[in-house]
Amino acid sequence: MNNMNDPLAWLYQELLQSLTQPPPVSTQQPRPNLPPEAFNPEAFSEEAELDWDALLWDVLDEQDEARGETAPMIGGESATPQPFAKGDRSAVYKRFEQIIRNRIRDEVHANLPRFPWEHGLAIDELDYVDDFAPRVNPLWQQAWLPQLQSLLPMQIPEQTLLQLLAACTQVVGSVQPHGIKMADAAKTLFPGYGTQLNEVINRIRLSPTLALDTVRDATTNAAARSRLAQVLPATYQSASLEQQMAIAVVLAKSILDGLTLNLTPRHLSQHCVWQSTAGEMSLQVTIDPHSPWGQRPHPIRIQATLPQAGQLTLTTPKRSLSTQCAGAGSLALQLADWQPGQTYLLTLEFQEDNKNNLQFALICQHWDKD
Amino acid sequence: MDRLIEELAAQLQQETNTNPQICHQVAKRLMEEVQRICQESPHIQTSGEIDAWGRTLMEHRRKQCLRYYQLGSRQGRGELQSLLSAIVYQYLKPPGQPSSYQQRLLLIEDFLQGFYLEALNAFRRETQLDGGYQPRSRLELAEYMAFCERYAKRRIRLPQQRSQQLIILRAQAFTRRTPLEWITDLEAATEPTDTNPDRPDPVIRQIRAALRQAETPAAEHSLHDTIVKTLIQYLQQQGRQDCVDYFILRLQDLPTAEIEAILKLTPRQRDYLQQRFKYHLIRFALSHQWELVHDWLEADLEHNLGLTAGEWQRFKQRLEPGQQQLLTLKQRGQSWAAIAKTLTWTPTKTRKQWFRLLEIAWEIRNRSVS
Repeated sequence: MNNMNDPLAWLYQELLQSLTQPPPVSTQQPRPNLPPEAFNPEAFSEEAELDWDALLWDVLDEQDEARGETAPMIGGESATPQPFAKGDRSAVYKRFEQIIRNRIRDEVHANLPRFPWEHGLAIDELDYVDDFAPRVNPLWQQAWLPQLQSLLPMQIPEQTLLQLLAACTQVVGSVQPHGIKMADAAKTLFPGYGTQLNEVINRIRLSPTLALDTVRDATTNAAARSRLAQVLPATYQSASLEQQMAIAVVLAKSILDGLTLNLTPRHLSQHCVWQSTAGEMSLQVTIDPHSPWGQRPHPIRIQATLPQAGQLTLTTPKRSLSTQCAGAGSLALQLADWQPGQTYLLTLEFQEDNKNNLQFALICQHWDKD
Repeated sequence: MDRLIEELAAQLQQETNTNPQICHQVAKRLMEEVQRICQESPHIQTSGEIDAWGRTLMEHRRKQCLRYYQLGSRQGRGELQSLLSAIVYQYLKPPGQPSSYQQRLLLIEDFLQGFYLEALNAFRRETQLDGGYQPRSRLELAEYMAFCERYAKRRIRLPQQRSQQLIILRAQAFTRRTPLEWITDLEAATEPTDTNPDRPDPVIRQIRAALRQAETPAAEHSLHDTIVKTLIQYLQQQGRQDCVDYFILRLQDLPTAEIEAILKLTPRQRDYLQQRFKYHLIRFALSHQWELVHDWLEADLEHNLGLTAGEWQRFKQRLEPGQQQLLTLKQRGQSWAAIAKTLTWTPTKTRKQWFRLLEIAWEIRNRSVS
């Protein structure tokens, strides 16, 4: 070894020195002691132009590497043809990055970074779980799918419909305005997209095609239905995100309408029908229009016709009234001491198994006596 | 496009234990990004293979996302941080001082925190998520991490048909916030920082680099690259990956102390490695690829092995008769096999004599310099 060092030391120095002069202008090769002229302040504007094509070659490169087809260190042609210069990612520099990457891992793992929303969290708070629970138990309220599927002339996944029904059930009894309830129910399908959903709702308000009357008509009026069908996408999955939001809003409105029984001086009777797997269920609430309007409020009569055994329960702040039938038939309840403007919950249980309840909101509005 | 979204959503659901709703939204976001690329990329648009590219890009994103998912929150972010750190390593250096591994780490950590926030905002903006959106499930976290990687690697157009990765431009800007006094840099660099004789005078190196940049023709780059790559291949063949890594770090112009920190070597270990490297480099230069190297050093036979006329005479006088013949035959361009036959030597002896001959030439050259 010593024999070689002395006479050839100069060769070594000369060679090493000349090789370690960085070859000119490769934008990936920095020259830390010179002003980097690759810096371009214009590249910082929001509209900085992206080099789309260069991106593609990077992607192909990564795929090649993953398959083990990388160009060998001796600079052979890479497996994919590159018609234009993507230039600067030499195998040597890639190896350099890999050396650094392997080295830095130790420090990184000893001191894991936090992402912007995680500031201040301890290390054991950094575990994320799978959000595997669907937001609604898929078995619940399946009996009412026929009704849900009939609301719009398009194909919508059962999961989505049931989720909306569950969400509407949650909000139907609240005292918020109808519009807010509808928005809240629809939002459960799109967590994280609240702002965009609000915009969609505003646009629906202004849209004649999706006017909610139109939609309601479509369930009964065949012509209206087919007009609506032309406007809607064929399936929910093929719709864009915005379209899905709009559809969800419209569905939520329809469902809430079907779960809300609003008695007013002009509408002394309200009626709704829900199609179930066992047949049609109909519900009617009335205030007798012929009784004289005295000091005491008139009783509200509630009547339900069930296709099979079930139970009807009315919940008031003071008590609950209940009635049941052992098979298909009618059920009736009466509410005498009701308060104007108060929301009452009317629960329909089906088949005793508690999985197919429908929850209605019953409100009897104020009216002024002349 | 919709088919692809469905397909991707189904794949994500299969591979992760995540609620189908979330899988669908993640798939949508990923494919919308793919769609944007397909629309904006001139190459894809003119290729007429939009579907094929769509699929390729989708596959790339699927794998990327699932990879981060499988690594999990802690290891995933560790890998992301290591990867990004390696990309920006050379671009983040404390100004006015020789670089140190530990100092760079601090700068990198600082820089990446800002980068993660920028990426999060870009993600929210591009996917039209709420300003308050944050990943909650493991899959959504993987989606964010994969986005960070892609965002970092986006290529921004620079003048003269070059492009640079976005994260590198950000790193350069970050450094610039603490203004780089490059004059101070130069002064600091010219002070002897270590007594390693293998580190040539920095001022001269920089002047040489500047000159090189101005005048080096393209052919010389490729010769330089060829030598670098051939040397690396040679070292690998000798089973000296450690020498390869050492060489690659030297090529990046890193000071000795930093190389020690990166390779986790004590000074003594580094010295030993350096000796091994020197040994192999000499063998490479004089035996394995002597023509290539000598050509590079402009010390090939046409240039009298880099010797002046006087030196050349002295050189020939030192040669034994056999070696003189060898020299003559080499100058005539004869093959090793032919020369061996003529001189009635074994091929091994022929090569060894040639090695010795070159050694003598370098010895003379060395002596005339020192």
